[in-house]
Amino acid sequence: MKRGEAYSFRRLLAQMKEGLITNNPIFVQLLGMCPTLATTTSLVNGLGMGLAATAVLVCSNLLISLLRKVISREVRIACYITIISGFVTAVELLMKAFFFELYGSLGLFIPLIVVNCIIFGRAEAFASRNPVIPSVFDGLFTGLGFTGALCIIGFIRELLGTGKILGRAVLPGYSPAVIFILPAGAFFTLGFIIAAVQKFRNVRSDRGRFARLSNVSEISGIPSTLRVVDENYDDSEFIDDGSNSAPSDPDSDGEFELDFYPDDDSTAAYMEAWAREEAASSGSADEAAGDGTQSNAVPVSETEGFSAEAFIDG
Amino acid sequence: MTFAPITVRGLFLLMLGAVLTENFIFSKFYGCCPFLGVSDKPDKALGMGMAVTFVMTVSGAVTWAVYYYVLVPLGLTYLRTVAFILVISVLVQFIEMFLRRFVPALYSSLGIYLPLITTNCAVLGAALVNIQSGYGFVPSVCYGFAAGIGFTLAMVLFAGVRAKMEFADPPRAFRGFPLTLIAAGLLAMIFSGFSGISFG
Repeated sequence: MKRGEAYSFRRLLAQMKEGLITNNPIFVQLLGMCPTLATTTSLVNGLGMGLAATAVLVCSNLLISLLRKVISREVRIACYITIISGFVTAVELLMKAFFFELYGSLGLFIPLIVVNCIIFGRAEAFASRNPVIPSVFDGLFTGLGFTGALCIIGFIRELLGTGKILGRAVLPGYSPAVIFILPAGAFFTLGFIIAAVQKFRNVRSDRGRFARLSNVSEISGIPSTLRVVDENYDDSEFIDDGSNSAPSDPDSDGEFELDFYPDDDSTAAYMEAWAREEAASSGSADEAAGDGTQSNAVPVSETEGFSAEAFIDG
Repeated sequence: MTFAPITVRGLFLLMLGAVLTENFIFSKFYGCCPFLGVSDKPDKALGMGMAVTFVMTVSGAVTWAVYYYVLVPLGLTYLRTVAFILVISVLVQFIEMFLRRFVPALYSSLGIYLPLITTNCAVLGAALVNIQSGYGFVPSVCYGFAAGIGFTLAMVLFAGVRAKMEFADPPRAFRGFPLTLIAAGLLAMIFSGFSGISFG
């Protein structure tokens, strides 16, 4: 994005869809598992944790983006940790002052937002390379995606584990399955939700594979997790399942690095597109190429979109 | 600063609790990222677990000292999160340099895991638990060590489970991460059985 250029509404929508759905930090990127598993014993806890992390994410993305030309590459990790932990302390003190009950039930997971991979990942992958406005929105939507995922898990666990929603009994005659509010239930619930997400994406990618093979060979601008690259469809590739869940494949050796430097191809694609736009504006020769990529990318990524509501109901 | 004196029996129960009933992974969920990420091979799991145990023990001592000798006298206890994470990241760097220089054998087995530990919430979690529970110096160090042992136990057990899972043929949607989570849930059920033990 060029300096002074207006932040387009279309980019905002693309970022929103990416943060909330197609690149959801929990269900797709599989980051930040500790708070996800620990704080979702009820809907309120999940919501509180999510909003606290969102607040930190927006503030840290803002500041890191502002300082991105000041912070040198070598000391960036220490700088990010300091910035993030400063905001976490602020959020912790605010919650202690105004939401003491919630603060008590979330326990140590408020200070532990400092080591949340999602916040660090967005700082590294997005805020340190992009202007302020996109960075703030990136933090906001990623945070809201995190919050939404926590709320879904919290809702399911509270409903099945206690038969209540927000402390009110909603299932008369239901005898609660206490396992769902125990630690084991956290693993089970998240496991089944992610299986559902993978099922959904498998179905989509199978459908898209045959539809798209004929006309588009190389697509940029959509997340690698959704991109269909292989020309020769072959069932045997599903044995390692790498094509559908690139960042999630727990057997890959680089898996743990992903927690620090998420394999964020979508961000890379954005940056590539902006770089091309800038090049196009300086030298008009490349303009056709830049426009071509955009018009290619947008309709394809729109077909990839799906609504959260449809997914939850299904 | 005065701390309640702790008996050997109390210390033992504290450590046993930290390993089994209050297991960092299965009851508190501290350190789930490496638990789910690095637990695919038993030797890797053991290496990571040992590295975490080592850092947790040392950081338990150092953060305790920082808190009671620096932050409390200066009245800056509310900055403990900032201070601890910085201390831990510096400490991990030092440990890495020290091991590379003086204990190359240990470095070659733990070295690659050390940089990952800075942002492991188990280490920061243990440091914060020590302060929150008001443990003295010895219990803090012992608690860090025992929690690390509990972490290692969980990692190695789970790596064994996952090694068996390689031969399973689950439905396509469950392959990879979901199955890992469900296996972890089953192990968590086993560990929740320990909470029935009461240490009278």
